[in-house]
Parts: sequence; C-alpha cells; structure tokens
Amino acid sequence: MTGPDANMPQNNGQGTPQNTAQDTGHGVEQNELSRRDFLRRAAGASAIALAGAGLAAVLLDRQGPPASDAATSAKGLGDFSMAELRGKPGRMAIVRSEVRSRVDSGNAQPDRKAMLERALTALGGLGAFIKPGDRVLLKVNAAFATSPLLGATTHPDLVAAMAGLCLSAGAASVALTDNPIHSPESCFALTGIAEAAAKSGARVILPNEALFAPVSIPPSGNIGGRLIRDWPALAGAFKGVTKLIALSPVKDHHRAGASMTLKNFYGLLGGRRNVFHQDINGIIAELALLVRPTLCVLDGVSVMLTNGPTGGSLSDLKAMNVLAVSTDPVAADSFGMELLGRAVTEAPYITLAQTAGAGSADYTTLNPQFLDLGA
Amino acid sequence: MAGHVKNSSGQRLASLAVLALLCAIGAYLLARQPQLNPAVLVSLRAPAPRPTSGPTAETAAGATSEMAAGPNAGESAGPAAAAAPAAPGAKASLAALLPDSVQGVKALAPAEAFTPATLSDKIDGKAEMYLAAGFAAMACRSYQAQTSPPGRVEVYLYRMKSADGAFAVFSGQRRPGATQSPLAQNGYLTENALFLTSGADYLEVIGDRAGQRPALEALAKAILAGLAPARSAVAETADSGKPGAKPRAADLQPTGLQPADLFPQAGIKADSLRLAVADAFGCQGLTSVYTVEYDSSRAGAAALLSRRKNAAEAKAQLALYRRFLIDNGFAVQAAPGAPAGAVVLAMEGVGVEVLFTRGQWLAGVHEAPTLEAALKLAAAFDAALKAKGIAP
Repeated sequence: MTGPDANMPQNNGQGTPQNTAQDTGHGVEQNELSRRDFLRRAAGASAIALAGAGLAAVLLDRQGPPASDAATSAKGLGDFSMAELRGKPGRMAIVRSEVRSRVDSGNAQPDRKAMLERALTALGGLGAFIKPGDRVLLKVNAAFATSPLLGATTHPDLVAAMAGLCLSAGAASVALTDNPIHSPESCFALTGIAEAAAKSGARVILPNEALFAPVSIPPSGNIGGRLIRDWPALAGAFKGVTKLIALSPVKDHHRAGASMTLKNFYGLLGGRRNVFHQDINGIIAELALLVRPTLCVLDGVSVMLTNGPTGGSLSDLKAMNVLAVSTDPVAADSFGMELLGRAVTEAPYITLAQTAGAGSADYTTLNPQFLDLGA
Repeated sequence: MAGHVKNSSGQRLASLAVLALLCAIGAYLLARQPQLNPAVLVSLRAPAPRPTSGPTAETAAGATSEMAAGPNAGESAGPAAAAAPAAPGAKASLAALLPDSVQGVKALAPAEAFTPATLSDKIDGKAEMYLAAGFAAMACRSYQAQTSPPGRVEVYLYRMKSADGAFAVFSGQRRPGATQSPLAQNGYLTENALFLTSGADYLEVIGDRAGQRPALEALAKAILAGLAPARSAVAETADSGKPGAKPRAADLQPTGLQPADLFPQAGIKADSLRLAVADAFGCQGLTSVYTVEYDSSRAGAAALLSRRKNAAEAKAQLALYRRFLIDNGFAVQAAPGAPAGAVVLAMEGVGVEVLFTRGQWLAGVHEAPTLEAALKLAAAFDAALKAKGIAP
C-alpha cells in the first residue's frame, strides 16, 4: 500500500488531477477507473442495495409474532379440575370457627385441620376429589423466609392437614412446591412448611433449573397468548401429577391489590418474572389459564389487611377465622376480596379471569355452604 | 476520474471476511427478531396507575395530636445526607452496617444485598413501591434473639436516593396506633417490629413474635450508630468536595418552609402525614405530594400539599390532577366560597376535591365527604398558607 492519499485524485495546483501514485516509484500496479466502469459499479451497488431493501420488504412481518407458539412450548401446566364439573358452576364451602385449640407463641388460632375437614365433608369428603393412587401436588405460598405467624405464607398447619388427608384418602404420593426465587430452602424452612411436609409424609420439591420448561398460554377471550409465551414454568414439578390443590393465604398486595389463589400461581413461573409486575392484572389473569386446580383452599384465619405481600408487623393482620374450599379459583378469590373488605373491582384480574372462562367472579353463584364450627 | 491502487489478495480476503461477518449478523438478527418475548415489551411500558391507591388509603386511628415529623425531622435531618444519592458501592457498605452481634442477639447468616434489579426477588410485589420512591440498595440479615424460647429477628436496611424517598416508604407503610420509638422521630414500634428512618435510610427490624423489644432496639441502635459516621462522611464530601472538611451548620438545618408545618393543624390525625413520591392518588405524573388526614372535626377529610419548582409547575400539576379526576368520573362544580382560583370537583359516592395553587405550592382538599366540609377545610388551609406568607 502506498501513502494514505495514493488512491485519491490529487491536484497539481493548476486544476488538473494527476495520478500521484505514478510518482511514488514503488511500482504498485494501478488501474484507471473509467467513467463506464464507475457507472457500472455504481449501478451494481445500487442493485444490491435495492435487492436488500426488497428482500426486507418481502420478509417484513407486519403482524408481529404470533399470539402463541404451541410448537415450541407446552400449553400451560395442565387441567386438574374435576371432569364432571367442567362447564358447570363450581362447588364451595366456607367455614368459620372461633375454636381456639392451637397456640403459636402466645397467638391463639383456630384448628385449621378441623376447619378443613368440615369444609371437605360438606363437599362430599376429600374422597370425592382425591382417588386412591392419585399423585397430588400442593401449590403452597412459600414466597418469603418469614415466620408463619406473620401470615405472609401458607400456614404449615394447613399444609400438614391437607397432606395428611390426601394420604388418608389413598393418594399414592403428596408433594408440594413453590418457586420463591430467593433462597427457596430458607423459605420452606422458616415458614415451617418443610417441617409440616416432613411430619405429614409429603415431599418438598425445591425449584431447580432442570424443573423449568417453556410454556405458553393459548388465547381465551381477551386473555392469554400475550405474556406467558415460551416462558419458563415449574413444569417438572407436575410430572406424573394427577391432582393439584392450591393452599393460599389471603393477603393485601401492593401491586395487585390482593394476593390469594390466582396470585399464588405466580410462584409457578421462573425467569425474570418481575417484568410482569408492569402488567400485574394481565399476568394473574393468564395464570388462571396456566393451570386449573382440583381444589383451592383459601386460608382466611389470619388475613393480611395492609402492607402486603410481605407484611412484617402483627398489626398488619386481622383474625378472621375463616377458611374456604372451592373447586373454582376465581370464585375463591372473589370471596377473599370480601375478607379483605374490598370490592372485586379492586383486583381487576378477577374479572379478567372470569372473562377468560377460568371461573366465576361472584362466589355467591356457586351457592356456597356456610358452616360454623362454633366456639 | 483518477485511477486507484488495485486491491491485494489480502485486502480482498479481509473485505470478504467482513462481508461474511455482516451477512452472518444480518441473518442472526433476521432469525431472532420474531422471537422477542412480549414480556420485554410489557416491561418497557410505564406502569398503569392503580385507581384506588394513594398515600391516604390507610386510615390512622387515634386522637388528635401533634403532627408527625417530616422527612427532615430529628437527628437524621441533614439536608446534605437527604440529597445524597447512594454512593458507588452502597450495596457493600450497607451490608457491612448490619452487625454480627449485639447484646442478646447474634447473626444467623451473612448479610445479603439487593439492587434495584433484584429487590423483587426478596420482597416480590412490594419492590415497586420502593423503586418508585427512589430505591438504591437493600441489605438484610437474620438474627437469633437469645430469649426463651429463642426468637428470630430479620433486619432490612433500605437505602433510598433521598430522605424524601425514605420518608415516603416509611409513611406509606405506617401502622396506625403504633408506639413512638425513642430511637428516631420518624420511628415506631409495633408488638413485634420496629420501623424508622435515618436520613435516606429506612430500617425495618422484625421479630417473629411479640415481646422482643430489647432485641429489636439493640439491633437498631447498633445500625444507627454505624449510619451516623457514614452520613457525616457523605455530608462532609458534599460540603467541600473532599472528605475531612467540616459540614456547615446551616447545612444541617432544614431550610425554608416544611410542607408538614403548612397544613391547618387542628384536627390532624396522629401519624397521618404521608408522602407520595410518585403517582400520588394513582395519578401518573403527580409527584411529591404530602397528605394528612383529619378527624371528625373536619369530617374525616384529607389535605394535600406539594412544593414545586415554580408557579408554572404548580399550575401544571393542578391541571394534570384535575384531568385525572375528570377522566375518572369527577365533575367540575361551581362552588361560591372556595379559595380564590380554586377548582372544585365532585363525584357521587367518592367525595369532593378542592385544588388551588399559591405560588410554587399546589394545595388542596382530598376526599372530603361533603362540599361543605371541603370548602371549610380549604378555607382554613388557604388561611394557614397566608399566615406563613404564602399568598396568591
């Protein structure tokens, strides 16, 4: 290569360009670029550019990506609802108790097991839902590494009671899971859930990378196919599962308004799921389609009325001493809003979930049985 | 046209390699572009305001009393600290402030640190509240209180970008009826926990049961003792641009009028002062709004106040909130007796709002149950502002 200006036209000071490369004496081979060559090359370059632009125009996807891509991911995590109830109103029982048979470090609470048994009996017994040989998965809320007394997670008494009842009903196995993101081991340990599982014969499935697989939610009404699309979910925990039971506390939630059954399913998502907080109602409504539970237990014994979902102070809680069991997660949540003293419209995802066909936003349409264990 | 040097084979190879690389990049982009996850698009959108949220959503119990301190109150009031953003390495320094042990309490595990990107991993949906208020970093640690039976205590130390941010998250979560903490003017105790602010820091010390106050306070004292030197260092740096210089006394005093002092004082509920740093009342763009709630002597209405940069900005904020209210069903209504220049809006079943500006201040009445109560409080508010030298 000659100097930096060797292939540039030079001016000899008299307005006449010269090929200065000839003067360098380095013996570099040179070519004159004729006007014809220049035009030919310019035309070629233009043709390539035009072809590229044309190709881009042809390939341009004006519709954007498809709403869902079932070819690359599973359609949700499964429908575990009772086949005979599909398309029909769900069933629901609500138990209130003033019985104070258990004391947690000075805080007396009703016997959740007795409440659960009473509600299930009203619905025909757990045997109506759990058959011998069933492999049951309990979806608990173990989102935070806090004491069960703070009401931010599923109470271990409820976990133990439901696991024990399932095994008594002949379930082949009972497992429980959640994906708390941060330090799952601590969350399961400090909430008392791990100990409750161990005592009752249930197995804790801690989330790990191998358990996650992409899922997509097919559109239903105005819901689905928008957020949960090829998104990692805790699919591995569902392997072989035949029945799913959600065990959820009733809590205020800063972002969503309330955290109950449907929000509990948020713990089945992996990845950087916090991006969904920007559309919290949309994502919870899609969660109603992600998985259909067999039963939902809503624990309103100690309700977190303020500062949810973490709480932190015992003064955030109010003893309501109520427990609801429902086959309809949307109806369960609509009842939970009543416990929180709020209108269903204050948690818009409930109505969205109803629109998508996931259940009823008015629990009274289920004609729930109201039961009282008395004092 | 002039001639040019013929390319060597090396140059030709290099150019072909570059061309091939560009083609490969183009092909990769073409293949990847339809695979963008919509969640990414969702995350880029501004959060939709919650229709019913706002700093006055909670009601404070208790009799009329003096108003709580604002963000610049008490020993944590240094404006230099208040204005100081989290320094680089704040995450590490915060964790170091959580002691290994204090009397009767010992750590169970190393401290953990969280950033704005990871905060939701720890506190899930509450992260947005901190992020909106200017969250910088958080450190937390678990302790065992040597009580019988042993108790467990969790400490969360949040560093915000300003004292206003710390006060916003403190006041937004204030538990009604709690006991004033002797450790900080902006501090209170519930039966199992202690909450306080110190400059731009917000501290939560949470026991797993009631009756652990000595352990909570011992931890809080140790952490506050560590925060003071750190804040002084920041103040000194801010004062002189270099460490070691003494802060000016004037910089350690609140300057100018404090919003908390400008509300009509009679009838204010205890501990009802709130600060919404962003999206006050669910109105996107309505920022830095203080509110107080009044007792039955003022029909349970609330008042709002926001200091803006200038009068034009105050008027713009008023127009923004007025538009928001109208969009949500409120109607402007004529109201003789309203403060000069005020706009009055009402919605059946929700309440009456009165909004007006006085110089750089946006003031108003929020969710008054009746027009009469709204106008009465608005008049008192206007008079209180005038008494402080703030006039139209």
